Amino acid sequence: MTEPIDTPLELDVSEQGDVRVVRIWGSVGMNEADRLRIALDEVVAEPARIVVLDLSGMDFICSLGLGAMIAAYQKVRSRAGDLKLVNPQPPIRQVLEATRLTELFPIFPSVEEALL
Amino acid sequence: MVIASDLRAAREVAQEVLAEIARLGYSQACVFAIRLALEEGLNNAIRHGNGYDPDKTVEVSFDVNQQRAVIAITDQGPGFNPRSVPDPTSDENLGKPTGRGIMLIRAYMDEVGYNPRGNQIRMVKLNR
Repeated sequence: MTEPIDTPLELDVSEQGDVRVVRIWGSVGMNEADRLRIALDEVVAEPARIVVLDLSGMDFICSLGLGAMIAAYQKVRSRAGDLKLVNPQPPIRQVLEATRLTELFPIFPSVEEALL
Repeated sequence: MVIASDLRAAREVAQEVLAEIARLGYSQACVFAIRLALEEGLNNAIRHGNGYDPDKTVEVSFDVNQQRAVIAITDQGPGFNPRSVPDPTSDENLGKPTGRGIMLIRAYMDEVGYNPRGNQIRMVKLNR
């Protein structure tokens, strides 16, 4: 049995009024992207002024994971809210840059700065 | 090796390839790139090529040494024309949630090619 080289996907959602913060740890590969999509669907099901995705602990993302974040972004934006990303690590930032999604998502160094 | 058209089987074959690449001392950046290309290639083969048809399989071959990794993924679908895929980085497509797999493979691998039918992708990553 080959040792897995990825890390389990973990999500933590906190809510304060109309602000929601989703902390994401681990890998969002093809097997985990559905979990992220379902979790984000729930997060954005009710209107929110700001949704923050804290990517500090994310170590991998594939196109399906990007799609889950874009779908959430579209839902939030359709209700005049904002979806912001926080602190993607260099490999994740590189994926966002290669896909030009840095031009879609505002990116902040910390949750606190995203909420200013 | 030949796997079923499901994502769990794809994960296992990806783990096998990546373990070999890690064992050969490829950089973390190379491992990330190969993992991304593998996941995108396998997902495309299972989802778009075979349409999750349980009667269809995906063939994965890999030839990895300390200089370079060569991976080929073949599905049993009708094939497609890779030049017909819209550019997901263009302004009009930026907000679409799908369509980035092939673009990411091209961005992260050193060589990418298809067979004439368009149901096999061959990807090369140099270890540097």
